[in-house]
Amino acid sequence: MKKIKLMLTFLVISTFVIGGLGTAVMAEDMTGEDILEKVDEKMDSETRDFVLDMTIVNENGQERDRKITIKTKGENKGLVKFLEPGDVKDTALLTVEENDEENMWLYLPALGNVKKIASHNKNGNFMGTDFTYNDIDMVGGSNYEDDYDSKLVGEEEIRGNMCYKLSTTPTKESINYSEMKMWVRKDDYMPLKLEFYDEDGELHKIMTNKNYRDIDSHITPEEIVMENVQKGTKTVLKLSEVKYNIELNDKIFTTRYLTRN
Amino acid sequence: MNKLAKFVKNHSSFIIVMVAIITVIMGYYALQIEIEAGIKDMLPEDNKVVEKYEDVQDTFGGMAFAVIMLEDEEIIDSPTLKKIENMTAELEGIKGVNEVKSLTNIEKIEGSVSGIEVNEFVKDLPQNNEESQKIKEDLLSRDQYLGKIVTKNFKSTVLLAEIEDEDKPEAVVNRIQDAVKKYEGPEKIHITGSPVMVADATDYMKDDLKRLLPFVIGVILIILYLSFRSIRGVLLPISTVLISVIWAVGLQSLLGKSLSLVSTVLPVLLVSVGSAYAIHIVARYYEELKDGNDIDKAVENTIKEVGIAVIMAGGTTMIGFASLFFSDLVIIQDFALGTAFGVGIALLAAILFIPAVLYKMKAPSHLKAAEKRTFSTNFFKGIYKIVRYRRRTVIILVIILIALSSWVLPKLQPNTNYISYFKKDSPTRIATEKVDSTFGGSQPLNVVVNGNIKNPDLLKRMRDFQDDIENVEDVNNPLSIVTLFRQENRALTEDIKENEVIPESRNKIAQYLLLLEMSDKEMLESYLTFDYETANIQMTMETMSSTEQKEKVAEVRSLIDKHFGDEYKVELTGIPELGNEVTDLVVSGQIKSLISAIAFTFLVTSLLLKSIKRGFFCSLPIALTVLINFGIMGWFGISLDIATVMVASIAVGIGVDYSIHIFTRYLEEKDKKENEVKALKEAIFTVGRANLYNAIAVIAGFCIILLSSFPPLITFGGLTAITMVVSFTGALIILPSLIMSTIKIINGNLDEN
Repeated sequence: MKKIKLMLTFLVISTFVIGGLGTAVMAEDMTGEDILEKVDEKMDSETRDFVLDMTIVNENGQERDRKITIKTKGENKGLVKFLEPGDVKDTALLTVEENDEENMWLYLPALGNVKKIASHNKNGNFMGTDFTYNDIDMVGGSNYEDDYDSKLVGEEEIRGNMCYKLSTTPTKESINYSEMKMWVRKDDYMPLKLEFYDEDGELHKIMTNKNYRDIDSHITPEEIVMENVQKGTKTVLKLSEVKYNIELNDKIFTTRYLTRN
Repeated sequence: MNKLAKFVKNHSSFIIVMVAIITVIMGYYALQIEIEAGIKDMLPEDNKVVEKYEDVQDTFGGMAFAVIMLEDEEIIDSPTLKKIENMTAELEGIKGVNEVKSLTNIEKIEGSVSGIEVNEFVKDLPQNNEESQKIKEDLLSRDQYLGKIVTKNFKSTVLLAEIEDEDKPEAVVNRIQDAVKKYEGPEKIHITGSPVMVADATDYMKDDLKRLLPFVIGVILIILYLSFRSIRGVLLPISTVLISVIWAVGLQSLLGKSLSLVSTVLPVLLVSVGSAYAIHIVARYYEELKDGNDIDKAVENTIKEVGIAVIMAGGTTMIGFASLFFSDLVIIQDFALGTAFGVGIALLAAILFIPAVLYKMKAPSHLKAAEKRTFSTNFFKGIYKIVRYRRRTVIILVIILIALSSWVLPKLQPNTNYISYFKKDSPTRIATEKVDSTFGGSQPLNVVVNGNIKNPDLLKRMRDFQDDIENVEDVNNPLSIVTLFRQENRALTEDIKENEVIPESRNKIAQYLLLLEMSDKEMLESYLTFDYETANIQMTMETMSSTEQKEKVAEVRSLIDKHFGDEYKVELTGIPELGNEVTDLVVSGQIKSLISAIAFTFLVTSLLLKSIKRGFFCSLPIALTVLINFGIMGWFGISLDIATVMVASIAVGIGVDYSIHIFTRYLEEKDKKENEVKALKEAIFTVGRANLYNAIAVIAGFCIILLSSFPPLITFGGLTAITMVVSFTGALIILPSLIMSTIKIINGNLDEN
């Protein structure tokens, strides 16, 4: 359940890194850790509410479409609800963190009741996508500073934008990535591209954030693509109906609300 | 033939140099030949059964597993589990191993108080009896792995290592075998599975080649020396067969083909069969010298007089081997190509290369080679007596043999099961039988169901089919999305066995699927395609004879019909299906190649002897040989397999030579002597000798195959040797007896004047 929570945090990081304020710090003075902190700093929003169109593409180019809504409040409440396809409509996952304990509930409409669930498989994929819980750990892990070393290794241009290039390596053995490379736009600290390398040092996955738009002064990518270059699979996430800092009642994040359509 | 003799004389140096150059080039390629022993290698690439097998493999992942079985008094204790854990880790690290499934990493969908989880069965090694007991109870309450990964009595367990490239598994299997060795004791370890069998077969093949080829060369050398008592009489024939082996193997390599289970005997066969042509040439050469001719004349006469017989004999042998090309099995086609080409080369070398060398050489210092040996002279005297005075007995015996053989023809049965390629006491066979009896088989069988899995009707049918399969003996361990749904339902409801039921509405199926995907996407990939349109039911099948296997698969098919009818497209595939296909092709190929071998032989002999009657006479002993071959198989319960299926065609091709030599010599002598009885006598005493040496060489060659590591090849060697004896007897006794009887009928007497 921690993983689901982390996934939410992760989406938050990659989606809601806001740059509108443009706090300029001279690049020369920045270290890798500083830049990530900066990225971290800008994700602040009390609530988020958006719709995610997920297209999962397998190695043969076949597609599977799913539509979900994600609502988050603060750092400890999250609700995922399926809108499409029709046969899984209203299936919902609720994550609530209380006193450092994460709880997760599942609602399957066909079963008609709410089950408390746990999923510990770190190799598991988030909702069957190309995002694994490991990816989430890597980017959104709460013990980031303990688990990873981050270095500024240079500056490169990505799609016409000057970026800081960061190299991040895990210090913990249990993390089965050898390295993550990250390109962060200099202007606004938007991460444009991430590369994940496997234990053999081979490129495993590439994540790209595209079409940033300004929504309520939050610069938000319309599209996030995660490509598994080794398996030839891909997941495309499209964001819409994005709302920030709106009023979300605490009731939404209760098991009783899960069963309501 | 005159022209040929002249050509050889005028171009002798050219011939020798060309042969040497090509042999060096072919030798270079021959050394790079590869060896392949897989079942798929036997079948044509565009074969429908192979295509289906590969499709399923592409969709649902490998079906080729190395099965490593551990036996111990107690599996579920800390030391053994620790060992399994270490073995799993080490095997997973081996290059060429995709994935390893074992007791320490199998997963379960768990419904605990906290909800649904996909967890490892053995999360922590048990520290005491109580913890061991808990793991056992857990395993006992779930069908998914019981009897599949671990037995009910917890005394045996298996590790399944998926092999990446099942077509060339030798290297990775050898690494697995090396790695596993050090874990042996106190637990007993057995290794099997189709890639292991293929790898072991490849090892045996290499061993066979290394052992048998030098052996057969040695034996032929001895026979040649005993026959000719001269160095050139030994070296010339042996050089022609070595040339033919090198060219034949070189050609296979050039064409990108590899040596298969059956073509490992190709070199042995070419050495013994190919020596015949050189023997006839060299024998005649000595005979001509003894008659007082000089070298040039002797060589010229040799080419003129036996050239045609040697070409006919070689030609029919080529036809015999080439007729195997009508088989639908790729390995037999390759074998046909290799042997026909090799025989052709041995033949050309005998009539071009040997005379070319003989032209260049001085006259031999002695002519012992042509001297009559008391033994053989007495032998032929005896034969002539039988032909002359006992021919009626001979003909009656032949009729009895025909009757006895025809009687058992319907009893002939095909058997091509891969395990029968191993001797009963070979570690591979012992391990396979062990795993079969303990874990319900190591041969994967898959039923692929086409239709949307969210359709409750389809899911229900799959469940019913699977439940019925549980009652089919020897077909075990059905595993599919049904199994996962049952566990998931148990996890989501109350944790009791009664809750292992499938979801019965479309939405519920979809939601269960979604949850499985969210928990472990890879887990689903072996059972369900991405578009939910194709599902895979995995089963395992025990090793059994081909006939039983066909019946068993037919039983599974009838269950498929019963449950899925025409409403869904359902396909069956797996190693047993490939095996059945090989069996079918063995039988259809036998009929096709045998008919074509006999027809072509009859045609060729009729054409060359310019008479249908003569062609018929020459073909008669060989037809008898073929019949007796099947008779022996029937009486001794020898089944048709990838090797014995070749015996009849080979017998036709080689065996007819003896008749050809006798018959052409008889015709030659009849023209000279103008007395048929004397002509026949002369033919028996002269050609008979070359025939005898030739037959001894060929029979010795086939007997050497008896030393092979493969039971089908051993049977093949023995049977072919027997058919050689029969066709030799046929040519020397039965054919002359028939001729003698005909002479008696036409002339009314058997006077030699």
